[in-house]
Amino acid sequence: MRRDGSRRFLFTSLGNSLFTSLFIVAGATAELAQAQDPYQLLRESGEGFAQVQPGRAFIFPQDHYPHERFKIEWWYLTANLTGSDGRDYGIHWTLFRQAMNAASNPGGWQSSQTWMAHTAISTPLGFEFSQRFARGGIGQAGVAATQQNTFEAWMDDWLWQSDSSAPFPGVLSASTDNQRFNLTLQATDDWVLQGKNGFSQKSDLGQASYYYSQPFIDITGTVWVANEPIEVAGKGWLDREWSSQPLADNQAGWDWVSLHLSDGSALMVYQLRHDSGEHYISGSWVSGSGEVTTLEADDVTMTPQSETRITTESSAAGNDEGEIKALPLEWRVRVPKLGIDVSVTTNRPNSWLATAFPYWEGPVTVEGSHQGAGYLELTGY
Amino acid sequence: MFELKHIDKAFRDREDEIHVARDLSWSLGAGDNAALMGESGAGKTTLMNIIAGLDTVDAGEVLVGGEPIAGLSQAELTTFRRNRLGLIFQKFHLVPALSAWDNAALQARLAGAFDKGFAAHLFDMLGIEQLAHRRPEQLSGGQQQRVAIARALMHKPQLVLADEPTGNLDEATSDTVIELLVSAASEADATLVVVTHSAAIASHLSHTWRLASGALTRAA
Amino acid sequence: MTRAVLVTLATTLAFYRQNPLQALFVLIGLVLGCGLYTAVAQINASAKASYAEADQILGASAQWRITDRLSTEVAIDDYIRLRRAGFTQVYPIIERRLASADGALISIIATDLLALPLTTAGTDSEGENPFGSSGWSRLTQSPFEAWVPSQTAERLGVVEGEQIRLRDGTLLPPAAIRSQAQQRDQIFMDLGAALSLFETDRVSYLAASGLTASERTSFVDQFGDRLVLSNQSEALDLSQLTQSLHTNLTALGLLSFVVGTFIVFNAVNFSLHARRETLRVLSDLGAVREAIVTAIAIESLVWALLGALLGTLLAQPLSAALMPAVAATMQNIYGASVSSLPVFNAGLFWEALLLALAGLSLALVLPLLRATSESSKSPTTQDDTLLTRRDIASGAIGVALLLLAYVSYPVASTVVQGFALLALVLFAGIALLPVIVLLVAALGKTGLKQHWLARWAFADVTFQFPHLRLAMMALLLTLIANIGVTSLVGSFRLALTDWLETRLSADIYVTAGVVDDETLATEDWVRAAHQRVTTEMTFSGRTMTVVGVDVEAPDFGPANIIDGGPDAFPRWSAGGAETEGVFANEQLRYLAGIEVGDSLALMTELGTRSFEVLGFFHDYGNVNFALHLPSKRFEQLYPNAKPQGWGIWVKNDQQQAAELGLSELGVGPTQWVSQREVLTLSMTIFDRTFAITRALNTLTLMVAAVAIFASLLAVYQFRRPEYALWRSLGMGWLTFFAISGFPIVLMTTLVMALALPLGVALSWLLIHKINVISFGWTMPVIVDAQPITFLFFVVAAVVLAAFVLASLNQRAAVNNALKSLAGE
Repeated sequence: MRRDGSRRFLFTSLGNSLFTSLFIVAGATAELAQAQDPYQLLRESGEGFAQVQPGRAFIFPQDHYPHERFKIEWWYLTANLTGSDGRDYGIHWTLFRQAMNAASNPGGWQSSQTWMAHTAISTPLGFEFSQRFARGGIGQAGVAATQQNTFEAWMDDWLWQSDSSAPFPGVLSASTDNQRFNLTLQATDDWVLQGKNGFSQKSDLGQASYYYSQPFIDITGTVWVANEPIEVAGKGWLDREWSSQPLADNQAGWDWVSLHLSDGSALMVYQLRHDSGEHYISGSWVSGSGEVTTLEADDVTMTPQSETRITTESSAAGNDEGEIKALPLEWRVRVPKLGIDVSVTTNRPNSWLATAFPYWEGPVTVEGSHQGAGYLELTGY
Repeated sequence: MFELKHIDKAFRDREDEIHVARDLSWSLGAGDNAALMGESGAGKTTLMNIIAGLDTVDAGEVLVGGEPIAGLSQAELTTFRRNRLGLIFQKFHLVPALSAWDNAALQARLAGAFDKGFAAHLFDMLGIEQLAHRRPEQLSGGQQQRVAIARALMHKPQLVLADEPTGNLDEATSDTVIELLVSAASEADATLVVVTHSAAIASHLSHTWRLASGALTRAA
Repeated sequence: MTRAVLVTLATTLAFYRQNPLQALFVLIGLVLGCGLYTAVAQINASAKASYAEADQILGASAQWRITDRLSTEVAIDDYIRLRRAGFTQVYPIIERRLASADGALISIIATDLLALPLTTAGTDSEGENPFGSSGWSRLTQSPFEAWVPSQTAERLGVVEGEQIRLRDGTLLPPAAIRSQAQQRDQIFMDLGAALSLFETDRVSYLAASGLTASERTSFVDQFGDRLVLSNQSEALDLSQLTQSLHTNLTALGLLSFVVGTFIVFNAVNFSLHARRETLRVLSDLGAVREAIVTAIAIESLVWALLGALLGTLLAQPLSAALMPAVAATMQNIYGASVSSLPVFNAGLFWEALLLALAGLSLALVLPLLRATSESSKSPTTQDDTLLTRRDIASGAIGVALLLLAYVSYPVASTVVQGFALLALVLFAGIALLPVIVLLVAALGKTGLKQHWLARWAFADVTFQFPHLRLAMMALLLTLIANIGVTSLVGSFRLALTDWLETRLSADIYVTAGVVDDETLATEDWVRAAHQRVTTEMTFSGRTMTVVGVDVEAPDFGPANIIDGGPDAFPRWSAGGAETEGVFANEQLRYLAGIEVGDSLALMTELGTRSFEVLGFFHDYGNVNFALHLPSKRFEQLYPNAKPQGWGIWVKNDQQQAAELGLSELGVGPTQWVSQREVLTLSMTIFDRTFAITRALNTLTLMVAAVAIFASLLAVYQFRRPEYALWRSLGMGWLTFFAISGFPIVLMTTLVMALALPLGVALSWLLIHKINVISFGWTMPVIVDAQPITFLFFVVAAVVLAAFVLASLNQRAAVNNALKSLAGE
């Protein structure tokens, strides 16, 4: 018997519908066989939904807002901050949107849109995360322009409020059970279109997403750790991605890093792990002056250096309950043509989000040819 | 009064087949009386039951009052017993709910032949006239059996069958009771058969018959 | 010793091989007794478990409840505002109690599962995924889904995919047979579905799991002007509220057990009696007393185990069958939502085993005592004493118990004491029965001296009674309880109907805020329209509703006043003198001890005022206090009170015009109800509510019938030699059955005759004691001849059936016995 039926229920209910259905498989049998994997949603055929095609022209600020014709979409912020106490703080805040079906959205309480949000705060005292769900259409969660035509992304009282129709400059406040933060976000650099002009291939089988980022966000603000305010400042990274089927059937999950390097550049590398061991790797490098270099499979390697055993908290998904997990938390990332050869390590190994879609997401330190900091994300473990 | 003609009666007891009667014939006339003796298990009671219409024969004929009882229905047998038969048991078998008087009157009333004068006479004769209103549990064994004798005779039956009537009584009481039985039966002109294993009791009756191995022999 | 015990056991148990029927009766008694007791205990336990979860909704904590200050419902926009303000523990709930097109009661609960702060185990089946890949959209998007728990589906006769039609014609979403935690007997649907179905943008209330003190302060600061936060755990305690019903159920359960024990007693008594000879022989053969006692103890233990086990098994389907009725009672009388699925409780098995052992010991000890005392005592020489000393003592006890009940009647003031009074009456009946039967038998015997057959028949009563005594007592108990409860239910039904007819005399009821005075005045189909206004406060630990009542409203007039003087109503109508005149509901009289002429000091918006009680009115089913003020005065004292809906009296033959008129006024079909329907619904609810009582009554009656059947069989077996003698004397079958059957007929008649006054006394106690203590209202006791006649008819039929069944084999058996009569 499962340890926690209700959480399991939550997972199954949402898992298979919400973020979830992102992924589900075409056939019912396949669905059954893979029912235990919440990431199945990402592998589901996006039949009926809009498909990701190369050569799409991005239009801002419109593309900052939801693309409901696509099955899944996210607004993904990570930040490496330093406190007035000189210690490191990490912030991770994400809003996910999912369309339950491809039919036209009736809106209101019958909306086909569902939302999930994660907040994770990493402090010297520990790691704490929180997840929330809401349906679309009723004003409880969403990403939309206000009457003043300013950008707003929210779930309950977690709120990203911009002064403009784009996300920046903005203010983000969110909380976990015992901690909260209030950050001012500034970014003046251009948006970085990942992959081929924003078309980000995920598999040789054609799975892809639209993907753009803002790697250079200047952040100042306050983090309250057990009601103690600490002034923080540092750099953040926003990823925007939407798709109808980003994962291929033979892909178990992905390993992803976003790094701010000491020379002012930003490096993003991800690999989608194939069952065969032949991983699909891709990335980008943005120089301090904003020039973007797309990294192909030949340009970059990302190699795990060791396995770290962590004990995960009982997962809300229920498919993953406080077991011991072996995770590759130490990586070597090399981009020979750019002279980058760094090791990526973390001193916060317990950054497991035991959510409906469990994953590891935590701050990392860069050593080697470059110094720096960033975030590592591991899914499908 | 009754006549058994060449009757056969056997029953199985476990492995053995016990013959109660084997081509047995026996008759007694009106007003006759006889003692029926025999070993335990010889079939005395079965023979009585056959005469009373409570048991059937395997072969042969049973006539009571000249009438064959084999063809009678259950209801007719009941009527036959009620009107013509008087039964006396070793254990008296009085109805505990009824007074001595009502007990004695029971069969006569059922038969519609209750005669208050005759009843009083019988009570008188049996020496129980003082006990008429008592219930069986308030009577001694001898007194109970006298009530049973009164009951067996009150409807003026043609035939009285008494099965070990003194079996539960002491010797002195036995003598008195059997004497009263014989004289009362003869006064009522009823044929009387008394089953007994006591020679002393048998001596009160005119004849003694002995049943053994399915055959009946007259003794003395 | 062990061997001796085994040999003894084998020998004594051989009895049951020869008398399988006796074995069956021991078993039936134990199983029925244990089964009914366990079933009722299980129902109680399950209901109480539900109360413990009363602050849980669908698996989420609902410790707090948020309601609107001005409206009975909360705007859904307020909910979103709360969420956006960070009150993420808050979730919206719509609860509706409705009737289906074919009159079944339906409870609907709706929420947003995504917003639910789940705390406990989730769905009905662990392994099953509650949503398929498209599950969430099926639940939340048209045509939606209605999740019906399987036991509710069974009750309503609904299958997967079927749409339940409501009384007003609305169709619920297609049914999916499944349930959530604590869904109980409710039909679940998504909040969006419910909002759409009921065409509303308001929810019944908002619930919230744990709120910290600072969150509560923050709530009051931000929303306190419009919304009210209340702690559910401080609400009226459900287990206290429902105590009387549970005591009632437990009493019925114990009654079944007592009746079951009677059967066991009879059967064990007989089996011991029949084996006396065997036991004597064994003892002669050298089996020591201890071995015999041990053997009997082992036998009892085996019986008890078997009885408890089978009883517990029997209890499962039984409680499952009864639970929906209990759930209906709970929901309808107390508003407590209870699962209609009983929860198995292993502890109850041990309880049943203990009861079975206790019952068996009782059944064993008494006959054994009697057997030993019999052997030592000299033969009784009871001259024609009518009654033994024991009978006289028992009769005296019966009279004493009745006296005690009479004396303690005014003193009893708690539910338990009330039930103790009931027990006194029941036991008095039992104690009086032997004297009455034996006296009547003696009288009959004396009175009919001239008829020897009648004399015999009456005399035979005396002889059969000892064997039938227990069965007759069981029947008496059952009958008293039956008559008592039947009268209670009947009285309540009449009182409630009367009251509802007045209370719901308006033809149409329109929800608050939809129409106003002026509009209604212009409609020519309106005969009269009145609106009540209410405010709530706390008085003596309970909520008290103060109601502003239009003095001219036809649903409240002088005829509704209890114990008011002749000028009470005019004085009240005039209103607003030095002190305010009010009418109070009876609850205030019985639960708070207020009498006519007493004054209450209550807060008004004009400051504290004194209110004089001028009289009382019936207020059935209300767990709170209520005061009625004339509406003119009420408006002055409570200008900010909440207006209720409109009661509209329609002119003769204008009902259709009225419905048309309402829709022309923009009153939606969900905003008004026909009072006829409310009345019908109320009565349906009422009948459902008492279904459990009826079911238990029927069951105990059946147990009593089995007791009689078993006893008759035993009597016939005991008396077979005597019956053979009757036949040997030439008694016809007609006379035979007349005499052997007369005692049972007479005894049954006497039992019925005794049960009638005691049953009426019982209903008097139930209505004037238990009811007043637990609910605070009274009603006239109405003894309706019809159901009692029917009950007696049923009892006669049941007893006759038992007699016929027991006599089935009688002729053959007597004929067999006849043969061995002489030879025994």
